[in-house]
Amino acid sequence: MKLVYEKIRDLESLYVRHLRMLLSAEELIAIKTPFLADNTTDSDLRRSFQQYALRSREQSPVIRALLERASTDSEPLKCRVVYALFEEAEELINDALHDEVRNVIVIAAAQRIKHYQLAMYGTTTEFARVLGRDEDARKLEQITEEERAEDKQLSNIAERINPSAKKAA
Amino acid sequence: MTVDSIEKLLVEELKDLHSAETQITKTLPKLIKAASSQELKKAFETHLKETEGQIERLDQIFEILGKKAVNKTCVGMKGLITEGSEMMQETESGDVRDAALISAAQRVEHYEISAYGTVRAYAEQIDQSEVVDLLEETLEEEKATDEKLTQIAKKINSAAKRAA
Repeated sequence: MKLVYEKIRDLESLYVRHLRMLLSAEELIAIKTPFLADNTTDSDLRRSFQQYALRSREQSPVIRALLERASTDSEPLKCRVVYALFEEAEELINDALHDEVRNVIVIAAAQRIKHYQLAMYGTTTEFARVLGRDEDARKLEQITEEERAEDKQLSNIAERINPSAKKAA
Repeated sequence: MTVDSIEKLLVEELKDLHSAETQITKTLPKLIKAASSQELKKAFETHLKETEGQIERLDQIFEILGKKAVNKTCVGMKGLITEGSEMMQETESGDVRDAALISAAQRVEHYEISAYGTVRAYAEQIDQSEVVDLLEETLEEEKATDEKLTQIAKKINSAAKRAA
């Protein structure tokens, strides 16, 4: 892992820095989301996670293309937060005693990851806009909307699932 | 530890949030110092006071639930703060650093919005209406802070572009 970073001197390099973090986040999410799918007994929720994993796999090359156009340094920069959030999720999943409770835990974990992405994509879109990279901004905006829709979908599933977890107690 | 009910899950997540908020109160003074924009400094100062109030609310909730806010480290928040301080070290004081600080702070806000949204739903589920109200108050503060940061970012990002 690269420990000494280049200085971020302008908005352009801050933008590139964000894209590199996003690329790492998406790649990790594509790899780890099937684990969330495996840990749910709700078929609707499992299907959603399988879709999210697929979508992350499609989003990574989009980010990579933006990065390659913006910089010669297009390597992902390990996104420690998404990594930590999955670690946290794994721990809590292992502590869950019932399937119903585990389903609820998996949703909470996924929504935290979604919100990380929402904030990250929101900021990065705004950077692209200010930099006059309108096409980048449009693509990033589209991904932001997909993430927002996924977060909303998870909230809806949680509303249906939470009562059954209460009964499980 | 085992989690076999929504109530236990609520308590676990509240402990996590207590740790997250405590970490934030320790970090905000550094952000206040690092920021150049007076408006941004003021926003962080206001949020520091708010965060102290949010910890008091959490303590109140633990009292209502008859539980203790025992030490637990929120790993997610630790990661967010480390990520933010790295970016701070990579930038020189000025508009670009301010833009990086806002970016990191908004990720922290989103973590909290998501976590408070989750615990509020749990509290609703077990009919703890007093707890729901307290969590709702904090959730609204976090959303307002996020919105305020978005507004400040608009000015600072343009300035940061000119700085190039």
